[in-house]
Amino acid sequence: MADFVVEARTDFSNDVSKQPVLEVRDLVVQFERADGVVHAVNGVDFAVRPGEWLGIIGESGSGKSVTLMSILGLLGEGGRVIRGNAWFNGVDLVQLSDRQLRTVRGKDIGVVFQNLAEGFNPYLPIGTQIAEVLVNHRLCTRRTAHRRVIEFMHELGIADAKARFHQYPHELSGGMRQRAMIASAIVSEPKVIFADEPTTALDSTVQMQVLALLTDICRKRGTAVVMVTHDLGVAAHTCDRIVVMYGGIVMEEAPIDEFLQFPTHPYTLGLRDASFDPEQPDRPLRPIPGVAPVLLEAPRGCPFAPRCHMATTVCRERLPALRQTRPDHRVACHHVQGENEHEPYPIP
Amino acid sequence: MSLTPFLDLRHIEKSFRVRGKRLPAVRDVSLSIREGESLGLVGESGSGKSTLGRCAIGLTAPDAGSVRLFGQELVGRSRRDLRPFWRHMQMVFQDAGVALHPRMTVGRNVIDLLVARRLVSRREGLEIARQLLEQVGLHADQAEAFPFELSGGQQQRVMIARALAVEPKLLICDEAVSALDVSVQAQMMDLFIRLKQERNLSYLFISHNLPTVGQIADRIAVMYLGEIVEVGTTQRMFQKPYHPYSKALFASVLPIPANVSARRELRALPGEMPSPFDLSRGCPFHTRCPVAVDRCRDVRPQLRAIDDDHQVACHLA
Repeated sequence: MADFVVEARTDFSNDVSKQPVLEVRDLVVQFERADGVVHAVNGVDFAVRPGEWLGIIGESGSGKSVTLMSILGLLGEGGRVIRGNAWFNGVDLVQLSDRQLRTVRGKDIGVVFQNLAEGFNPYLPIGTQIAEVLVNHRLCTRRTAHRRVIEFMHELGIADAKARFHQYPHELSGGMRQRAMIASAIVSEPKVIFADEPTTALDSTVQMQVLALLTDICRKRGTAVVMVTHDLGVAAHTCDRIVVMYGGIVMEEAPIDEFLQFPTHPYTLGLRDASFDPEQPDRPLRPIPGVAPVLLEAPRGCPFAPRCHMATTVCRERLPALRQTRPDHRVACHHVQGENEHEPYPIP
Repeated sequence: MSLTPFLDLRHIEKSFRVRGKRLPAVRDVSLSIREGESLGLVGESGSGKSTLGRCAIGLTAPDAGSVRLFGQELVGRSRRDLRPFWRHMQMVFQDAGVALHPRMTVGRNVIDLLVARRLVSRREGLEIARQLLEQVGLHADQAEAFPFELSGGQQQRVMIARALAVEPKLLICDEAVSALDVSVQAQMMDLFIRLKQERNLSYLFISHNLPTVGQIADRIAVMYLGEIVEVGTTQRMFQKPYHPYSKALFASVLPIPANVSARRELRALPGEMPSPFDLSRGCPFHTRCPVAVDRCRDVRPQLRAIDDDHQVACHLA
């Protein structure tokens, strides 16, 4: 078994020469429900550069997973992209038909989900299922796929890959299944991987194995990653850039070092205060009161205002714009001073 | 906090029969909880922590060993004889939705144990239920609601109110917040910590989630393959655990660094927990241990004190 030690990742954030592999602009997603229309994503922008690891953080209900699902065309019943674009390889994924999207999903964009280990078909050997990614997307013949998958499983630290190829999902342990999952996400050598809470359901040491493996393999191959997580510690140790989401909008965005040193939005600070610090286990945590709301109408003011200790009238009435506060650092809060402003927005 | 053991487990053994084979779940475990103390029990799936918790409260009868509450032996008693002890110990499980009676109001669910044992009349009970619901952060009027009308977090609060109704001294929580949403988890932990302070409650807090345990526990015990490999104060366990397994386990909780250069290396423990069906002699961890020597493969290390309040089962500690 390989010893997965991961070096600090390269910081691409200042490299303007790299064009984004994925660029999401003004994305709006809504769900039709019996009790009305849920405004899940309300105008989100972000870009991912080649080899960059982008973390989207926030609580459940903040719209982070829906953002990924809508780009993949996996919204499910009642879900609809109202407007916006997701540029990938010069194509707007939002405009593609389901059939066209199928050629992208799993091939050019790999996917690792929280419970995807359960996404394997229980009646087919694990290796066959990974190989299918290659065969279905016509990337190679079945025979070549077989060989490549075994090489791949070996690279991912799956011992005795030849024998494992023919085993069924239930014969593998949870950690092995998660590895197999990563193998099927990355075997087609996608440019970008979407990872939605990839380690949340796992035991602590398995979590670490999966993170180390994923960071290692993506760094070697230069694969970009968009990872959705609620775990700030995990995001801080893997990501190059962070987007904080709440109420379906971007609250704060910055490169990781800037984000760690100068966290700004009251929501970001709230998430930090609510996070357990293993270096100070005695520090009492301050959970953010309440839960993220289901928005049955488009947010008029700041969606975080009802839970924010800094909220004033302006917060409840006007949606804050995402403004630059420091170089390459953007924040959407009425109470935070912009880079070239002397005063924050006037508060009536 | 007093130093007299309040709940004392000695040499607990428990195996299950699975497909005709013997599956050892708990192997010679001793553990004690002092009055007012919160003990965290951590370990990964299959480590035996839930079985140990069930043995502690008498839901599972151990094959061998002793469980003493205030010095009185619980092992060997029938369910009926155990009942008086359940006034002192209550259990909170992961899945509140299943544990609550769906056709009884929330209030009736809360006082069910009291009414069933004719400790209070229904009328008195309802008033108690309303008070308890407020104490766990719900509205008194929610006593009239039915469980399905509440969210998962609220249902779990009802379960806690129900456990508190008999005024226990110890709550055994088995993954009590694991199924909840992260922000709700945090609010729930807040409640557990408040109850600990207000009622001088003791906890046996069982979870695979180290941050949750770290918030409430005074001491933490680490289980691996049915054995306790280390016990120590929460501070020490997070900052300087001795056992190689504890080291890997606690290092997997990532802090938020001050900047990028303060990031920790992501160093994974290789391999997997071996199948409990074919346990070898020696230390249960030797198959994955980075520092194992010959002795570790042959001789099972005993849990021994290396410091005040700190015990480790490792030949090399």
